[in-house]
Amino acid sequence: MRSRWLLKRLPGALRTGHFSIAPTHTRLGLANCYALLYDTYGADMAAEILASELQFYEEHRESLASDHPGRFLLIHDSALHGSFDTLDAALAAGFSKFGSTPFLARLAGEDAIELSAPALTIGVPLIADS
Amino acid sequence: MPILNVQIQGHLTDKHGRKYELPATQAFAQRGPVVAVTLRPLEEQFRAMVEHDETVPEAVEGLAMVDTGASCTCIDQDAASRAGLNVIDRGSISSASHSSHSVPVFACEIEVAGLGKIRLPRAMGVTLANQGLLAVIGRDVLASTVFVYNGLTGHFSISL
Repeated sequence: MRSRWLLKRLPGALRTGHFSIAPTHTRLGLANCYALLYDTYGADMAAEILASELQFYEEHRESLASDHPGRFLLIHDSALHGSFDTLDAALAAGFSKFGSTPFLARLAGEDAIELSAPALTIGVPLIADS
Repeated sequence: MPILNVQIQGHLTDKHGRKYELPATQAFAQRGPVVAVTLRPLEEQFRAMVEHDETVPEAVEGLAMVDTGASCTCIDQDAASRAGLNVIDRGSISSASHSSHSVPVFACEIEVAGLGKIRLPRAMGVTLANQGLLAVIGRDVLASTVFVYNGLTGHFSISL
């Protein structure tokens, strides 16, 4: 199931032979698709993760917000898999159903979470060495 | 309520290789409020991994800096990958040189040495390893803590 999930999301170029699995990936298996994509192709390729889930969310945003006000949605593979009272409940259901395969858990109608961190965004070094 | 008191230590090395201990206030000012942490998946993900016969990766250890300027807690993306964390959303971050760009949001848990576990259902994935950090503890966590920065004595305390 996860192999199909992964292949479906990989761009065509990756399906035609440009795909290698390093020792670290065999240790993880295909369990964590994010780890596999990140280790192999870096953050740019990892940006593909949740693309179809987010597209589904944006396309149905208004109806989801009106049908499930104040509830946390669990979306996977362009389909809604339930709404929950709390984020923790949505996460528990997501892990139970999909294991380590990425899924979207977000409050109905909510915008993407935005990070405000001046030290990170303006490049002030957060040096941890003395 | 557990309280963690930390006094940062540091030293200087001269050209002859001799080490001199820095005053605590100076070491603290230079190094900032950092704590030792362990990063791992949430308990629910652990259980799911076992149920799905998946290999459970080892926890990742490193340093986390308390940053009152960060709106939410961030973790290093590479460490998130090594810890086998799952992506549960995508967020955005903007910088002075780039327009807003998308970053993964992870569900995880960090354990602060001497303090305890902190559940992070939404931690932003950014690049921190080049700064010697595993995580930046932001205001979402600080909202349920008491954090005292005592620059005069060169120590800080944090309680959950």
